Amino acid sequence: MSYNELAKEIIELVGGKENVSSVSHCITRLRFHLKDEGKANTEALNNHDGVVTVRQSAGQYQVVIGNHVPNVYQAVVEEGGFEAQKQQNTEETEEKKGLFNKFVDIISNIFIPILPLLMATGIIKGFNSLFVALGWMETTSGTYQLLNAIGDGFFTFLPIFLGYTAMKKFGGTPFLGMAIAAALVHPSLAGIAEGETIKTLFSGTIFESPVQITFLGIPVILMSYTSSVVPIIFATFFASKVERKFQAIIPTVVKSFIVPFLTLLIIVPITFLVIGPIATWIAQSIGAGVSAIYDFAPIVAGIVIGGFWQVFVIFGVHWGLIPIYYNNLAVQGSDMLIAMTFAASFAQIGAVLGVWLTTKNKKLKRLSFPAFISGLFGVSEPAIYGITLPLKRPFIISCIASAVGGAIIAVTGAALYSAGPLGILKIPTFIHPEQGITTGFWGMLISIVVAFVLAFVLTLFFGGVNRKDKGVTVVDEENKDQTDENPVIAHATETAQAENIVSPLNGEIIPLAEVPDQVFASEAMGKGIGINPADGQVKSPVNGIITTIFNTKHAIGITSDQGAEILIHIGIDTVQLDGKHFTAHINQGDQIKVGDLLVEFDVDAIKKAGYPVITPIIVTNSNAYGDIELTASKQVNQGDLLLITKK
Amino acid sequence: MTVERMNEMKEQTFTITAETGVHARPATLLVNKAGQFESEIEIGYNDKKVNLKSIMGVMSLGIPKGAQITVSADGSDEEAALAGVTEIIKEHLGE
Repeated sequence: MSYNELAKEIIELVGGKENVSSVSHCITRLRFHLKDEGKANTEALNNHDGVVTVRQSAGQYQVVIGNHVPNVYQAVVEEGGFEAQKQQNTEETEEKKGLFNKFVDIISNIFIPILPLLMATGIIKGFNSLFVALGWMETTSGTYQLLNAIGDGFFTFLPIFLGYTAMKKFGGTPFLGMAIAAALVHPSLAGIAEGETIKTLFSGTIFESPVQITFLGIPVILMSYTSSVVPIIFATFFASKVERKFQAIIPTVVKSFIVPFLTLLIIVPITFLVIGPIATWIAQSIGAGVSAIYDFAPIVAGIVIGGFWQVFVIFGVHWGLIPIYYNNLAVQGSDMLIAMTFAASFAQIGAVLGVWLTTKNKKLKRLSFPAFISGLFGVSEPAIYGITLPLKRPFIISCIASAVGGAIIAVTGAALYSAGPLGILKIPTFIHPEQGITTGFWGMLISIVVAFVLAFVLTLFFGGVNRKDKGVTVVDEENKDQTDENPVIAHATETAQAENIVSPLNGEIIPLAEVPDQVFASEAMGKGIGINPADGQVKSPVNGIITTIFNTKHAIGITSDQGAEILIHIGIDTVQLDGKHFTAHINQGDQIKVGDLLVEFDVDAIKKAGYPVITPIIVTNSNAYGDIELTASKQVNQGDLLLITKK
Repeated sequence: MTVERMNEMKEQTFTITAETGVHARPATLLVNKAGQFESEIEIGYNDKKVNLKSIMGVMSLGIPKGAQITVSADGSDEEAALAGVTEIIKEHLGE
């Protein structure tokens, strides 16, 4: 049966679409809000092949479907026309957000998981070029090469990492996003782009494009996808849609490999055929445009190129200017075009400093330092993607400051006399090989100081660093952390993933239903298992965080890195002991690894005091999972597999 | 979508008199009750606020005897939600 047929039948059985006020889904269930639950034919739904079971709770009519619920949900929404409803509610906010903000939010969001890596590799890159500039290393040395590979490897293959996070963001399979990105940055294609041209399209125009290969006869205009950001966002956006379509039409038996097979075969060539030319032509137009403006009025060119440089970089179209730059250096021995972008990274770190000093957000403060340092050496990605772009205003401010810097450089006629490193280390390349320090050199120094100070001051006053409504994910999460909700708890249910939970105790397995306490036995707290401990040592069953350790020390709550909320409740009614016979080795908020000693307790003393030591181990967010499998063993030791949570 | 609706939110303060505070069992009762309602329900203690529909969240507050707690509900059935939770607290935990 297709999803659409199933959807049609489900809608009919819940009382028709008129009876549905709204529908949403979780990991395994469709969650309906029905106007009248009495109109739903629960028995027929329960007996339906496509439905596991029906649950009525929390004012929701839940139809348990299984892991493929997203597809069924999609079909239900289409069949019932429910999405129109949903969109009406959200229309206002969507409209307010606007395209720019949405785009910035997407970029910021997909960078969040990889920010620490971006900072780390940015710093390595920066110091590597510093060491060369100081003469401590030769660029030919193995040490430099290895450090460079460490720092630059991540930047070069950035699209692969973004392929994962972007695909996840668009609701597709993350590894599929990585596979698409891996194809885009494959070294052999990068080699071909620099190789022999077989023909030239649109020769004589600004769209003149060398073509090195064809795909099934269609000329492919290659660009360099390494280090790029935007192409993979577009590719994964369409891939997620295509993947979903295939998910819906391909039979379940062969789905697992046919869906990625077809999605890759469609999306990768289309990306090469569409994104490549568009980006290439935009880049070339920018190059031609800026050159034309420069000939006409250098100061305007300075403003434009200084102001938009970072935007060009984000879209990967900045390299339209690079050939002009190399050509200028080769032909004239100097370049004034790329010179005008020099203030951009200083404007970025000026804005970062402003954020650093004013933010009340601990996470932003922590990120600011490495972003500043790597930005100082011209590696501005951490500053852009980690700090200024998510906050939006500081990014705009830094573009303004950079435009002013560009104008100063243009007016004073500062020029670059050789290609070289980035950031402050690039300063010496502005020294004229024969005339030494010229007016242009001073102009450049003034430009970067002005850009830096201007971005810094404007960010202090207009950066809106602590604005409440900025919709920044980095900041929102952190604010929750500081004030109300613990984000670990708040997001655990949504992000819960399949994982193995090992035994925290040595002892005998007791089925939960046989635990002598109705609250546990009835699964009111969630699914789990009981252990009759042989000795009094509790070790961590997962990697995670201690969410709660009661002052009575008899119950430990853990939120695992994968999102499982696990309660280890030592003994029954042992809250009455008020901590006696228990020793805690951890505190609330501690990071723990599998096998870390959490609590010790005196088995005999607790028994003597009249309490059973049977210890229920409960997954309190069981609802977030499709199923929780229990060990079949009768006896377990610490570290043995105890529970498997399944999506 | 964060819409400020402070004015509409229902809130009530309680004092915990139960000898052992809000441990696993009463936390479960509260959470199960809260789960029956549509509204967003939060419990606050010591400047910390958590979702009353999460057992782990409630337990993470470590609410002892004598604690002043606030329960707030915000949503379509907020009054019923607050009444339901109040009933559980009065019956098992305090006043």
